[in-house]
Amino acid sequence: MEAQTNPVHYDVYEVFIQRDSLVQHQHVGSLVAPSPDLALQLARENFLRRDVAVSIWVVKQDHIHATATEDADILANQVLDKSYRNVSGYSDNAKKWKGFKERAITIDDLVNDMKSDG
Amino acid sequence: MSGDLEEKFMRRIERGEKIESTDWMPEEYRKLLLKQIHMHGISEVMGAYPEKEWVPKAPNLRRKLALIAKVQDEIGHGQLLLRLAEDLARPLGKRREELITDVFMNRVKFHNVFHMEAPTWADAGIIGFLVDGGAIITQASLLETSYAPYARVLQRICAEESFHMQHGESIVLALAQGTDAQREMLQGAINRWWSAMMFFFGPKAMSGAAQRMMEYRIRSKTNEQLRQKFINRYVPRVWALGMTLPDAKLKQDLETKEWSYTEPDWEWFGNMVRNNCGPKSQERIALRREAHEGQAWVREAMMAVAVTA
Repeated sequence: MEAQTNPVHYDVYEVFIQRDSLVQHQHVGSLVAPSPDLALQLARENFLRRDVAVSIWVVKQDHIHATATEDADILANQVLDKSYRNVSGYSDNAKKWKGFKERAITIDDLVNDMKSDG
Repeated sequence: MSGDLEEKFMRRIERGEKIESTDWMPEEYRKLLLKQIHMHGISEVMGAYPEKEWVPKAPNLRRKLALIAKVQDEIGHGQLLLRLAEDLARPLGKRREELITDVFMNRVKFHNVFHMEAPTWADAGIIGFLVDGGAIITQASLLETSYAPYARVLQRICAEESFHMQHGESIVLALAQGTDAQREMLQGAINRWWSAMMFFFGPKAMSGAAQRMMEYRIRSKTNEQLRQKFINRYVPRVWALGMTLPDAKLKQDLETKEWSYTEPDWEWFGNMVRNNCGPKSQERIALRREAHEGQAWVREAMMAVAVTA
């Protein structure tokens, strides 16, 4: 056997799979491949042997810019109370509506309205 | 050749398939979508203006924080939508800069409600209650749109709007439980906004473009269906607060469930939206222009940083 003097090197691709048109692509892992085309094929072999999907993206790992692990505290987003920004911060609306003999409605009620005809 | 593609495209639409930005699409579909999403995005941005006027005057810190959060959300939604518009506009040779400047060149319309005055704190509440309620109904009806990128963005927008809805109701409920003066202020705001809300959903007889949007399944509900759903949800709630609506014709037919209502002044509102001649149109457009042009040097300076980095 001849010693390998020039080992083949494949680039790393990060793989994103979209399972349905209405959801965003989701990162599922990575692989190595000699070209974007082959990375797509291999992604199907490695990550989609069973599940249904509508689209695959592969992105060269070098092309991904990420936040530093040390910055995670900024993303934790819990330093200050943000209840004023969330539906849960307005739970007394329901009580007040009751006082006016009306039921509180939620966004889901309005979304469900669309599912009925007319 | 293109006829064949168009036929295939329509079959995809009829099967309920979703279209992606990179898929082939008829020019008409692209242009209708672009017009819709561009106007939606610009309306989100212009929608921040009547509310931002109340940030410095909010009655307490929590209300101020909530209002700032809401303004941030509206601008954020504008960003998401303009990004979609940009992808659609690229093959037509139009870029982000134009999509943004179109509003002060009078080349894109924005929702009638954002041309109006918000003179009292109750107006800030009514914008959250009625205007956001109406906007949510319209946006919820678009969740099933045939254009997948729009459908995905709308999911996020609707989720965030659910806080806007609660925020508006919270202000309205507080005023409705308040003093006579507060209730009177609330009634004044309802009177000011009601007819604008009837216009908001558009005329009963829809334009040719709106019809085509239905055929392409960009949208699936008629203007009148949306208006009826809005009336049906909001009129009983306004009445429950012990408030009145400035329309003696408002009545539900118990058999058909249809509401009768007084037509808004289509001519007056239509002219306002076309020519930006509402009470606050020019002032807000000027602020938008000032923000965009005043910050041009920042956008340029950032490019210099990107080059040297």
